[in-house]
Amino acid sequence: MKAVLHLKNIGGLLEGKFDFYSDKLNIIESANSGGKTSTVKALVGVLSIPPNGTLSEEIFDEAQKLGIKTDPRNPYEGFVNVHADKGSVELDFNQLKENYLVKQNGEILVAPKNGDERFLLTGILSNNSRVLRQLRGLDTRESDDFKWAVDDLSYAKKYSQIIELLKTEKEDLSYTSELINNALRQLEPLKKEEATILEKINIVDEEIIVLNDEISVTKEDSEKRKKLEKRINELVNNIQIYTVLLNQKLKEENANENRIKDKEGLLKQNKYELKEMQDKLNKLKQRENRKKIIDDEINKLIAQRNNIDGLLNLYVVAESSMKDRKNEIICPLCNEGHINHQKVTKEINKYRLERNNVNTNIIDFNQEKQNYILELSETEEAINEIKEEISNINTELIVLNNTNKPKQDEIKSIRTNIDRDNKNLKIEKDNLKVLNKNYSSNNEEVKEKYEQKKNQRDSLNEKLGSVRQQISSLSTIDLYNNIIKPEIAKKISEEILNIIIDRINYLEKRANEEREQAAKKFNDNINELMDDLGFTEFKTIKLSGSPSYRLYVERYDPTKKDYKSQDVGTLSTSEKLAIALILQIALKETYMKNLPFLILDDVLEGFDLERHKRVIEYLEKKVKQEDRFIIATRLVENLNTPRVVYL
Amino acid sequence: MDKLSIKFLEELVTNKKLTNQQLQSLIKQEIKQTVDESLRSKTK
Repeated sequence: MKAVLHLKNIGGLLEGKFDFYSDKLNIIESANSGGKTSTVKALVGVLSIPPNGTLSEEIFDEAQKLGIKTDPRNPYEGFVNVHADKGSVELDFNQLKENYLVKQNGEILVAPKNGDERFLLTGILSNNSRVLRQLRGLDTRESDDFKWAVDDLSYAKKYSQIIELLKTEKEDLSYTSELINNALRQLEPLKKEEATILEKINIVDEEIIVLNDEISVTKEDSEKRKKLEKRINELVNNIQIYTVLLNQKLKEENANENRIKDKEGLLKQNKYELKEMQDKLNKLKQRENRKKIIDDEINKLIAQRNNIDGLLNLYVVAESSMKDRKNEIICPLCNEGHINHQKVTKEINKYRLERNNVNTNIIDFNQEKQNYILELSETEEAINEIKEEISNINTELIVLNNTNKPKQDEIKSIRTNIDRDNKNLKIEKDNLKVLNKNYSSNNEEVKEKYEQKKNQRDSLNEKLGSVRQQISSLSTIDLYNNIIKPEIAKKISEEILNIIIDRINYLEKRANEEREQAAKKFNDNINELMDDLGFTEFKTIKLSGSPSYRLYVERYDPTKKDYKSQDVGTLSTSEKLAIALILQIALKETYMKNLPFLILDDVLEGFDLERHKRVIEYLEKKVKQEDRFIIATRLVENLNTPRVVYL
Repeated sequence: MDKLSIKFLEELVTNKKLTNQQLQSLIKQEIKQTVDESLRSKTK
């Protein structure tokens, strides 16, 4: 396989084109600041920037350290040439064409289609890679703390992310449950207090009736007063009931408005997704002519295969007839001259190989066509699903808006009633005042008692109003924009809390399984690499198990003539580099085996001579055995333009 | 309805395109739907 990297305005390079081969060791050479690191940065960028152009928060720091994202503290070490507005990277390999276009300020104009940010942690070993930084004690993590290697790169990270989100929801719901329980605890005594106040009001009302007769000049006067007092009590009661009702309706209206806001948010999100999908569909349709090209290519290849089959058939028939003709026959193609068995077998093998190659090409083209058709139909299906979702949300919004209108009317009507009753209350109270001017003047003591009882009645009314307000606010709970009774809210919140706890437990179990699997695969890969690299000075390099995932190293101790465990931080520089190389390749094999790129930037020269020889032998063997691009850099003094040499 | 189902959560895990904010919004939405569904069944 061949890969071609084409750069414009990246780092120190104005333009560069580099060929890499998967069966050779590719060495990029240049002097310091000659462009080899810029080439590496470009390659790493195009392989790691995700399709949406956004790196996750944890990885962003790595991208800055590796120089493929501009570090705000050091913009002149940025990815794009400081003299250019934007830089571009193109990588062609294995029928894939990846593009990456970035502005000088770091804004990504075109992101690669298949970039995977994990490549930043797995695919490159340089002095700024996390593995080496950590072993050298230059990272915030301790030298042997490799939990990230099983956490951040496997699905465990995603499980943990969802666990955290569910825990936040659980906390919110627990808080609501606490409010519900408080409400239920407070409601019972409040209801008792309401009943007690009502009882007291009845007694006071009875007493006022008796006192009314005593203070009234005429019977008619007394009846009038009683009527007014009854009316005032009715109005006070009505106002209290209307106020409670108003608060409840306002709560419902608020919940309804929140529901509308949620739906509108969802609608916006769906419309955005629809636009993205439609853009994707348009881009796919622009590639429709590729389908025609593929069909033509397939037809050509089928014709080629038929032709090969014809020739193959002639030689196969010739081979079968050879037994009778003492190993030599007339050439089946030209029908002139003789041909021996060795030549016939060679031709058969040649045509069989050609046939296989043609078949592989047909399969590849068919696969590309199928992938295209599948992607097209999946995109169309997604568009239909989003459109249906949008239509459902619109219907729900209509229903919600329709319920909102009568609610607003109801609120308006309750407010009107409260205003009306307040007005009437004032009038009736004034009327009573006028009437009370005509007290019988005989008994000052009774008059005083009457006034006292009336004040008591007013204060009981006030108390009743306040208790009723409290009961009203505690009698309904807002549970995810549903205004419901606390008894029902309690049942539902307990049910949902149990479900969330169950799901958190499940996800934690899955995250642990993922970590354990990743650690096992990682350790297996390390063992295999240690055998292949022949670093016999180490007996064991492995990650310990859950939950700490520390790096454990057993190294040969010449004084004791035996292997013993050694703190990673105390190893020599060259030993750390050897371990870093093993860990880096093991990470790559564990997580990104199918992406055929491994980059070693400025690290090979750090090995001592013996290890350097072993590493080069290993890498050369690896590229011959497996189809992958291994790209290393090498310092060559006075070489100001980078070049690639092949080993 | 399978409330806040394992299948739903596993799909969130394997979906590489979702941002943390989108994940949060999808989980909130799913819990809200679960609450609504539970309320409907209790007030039938």
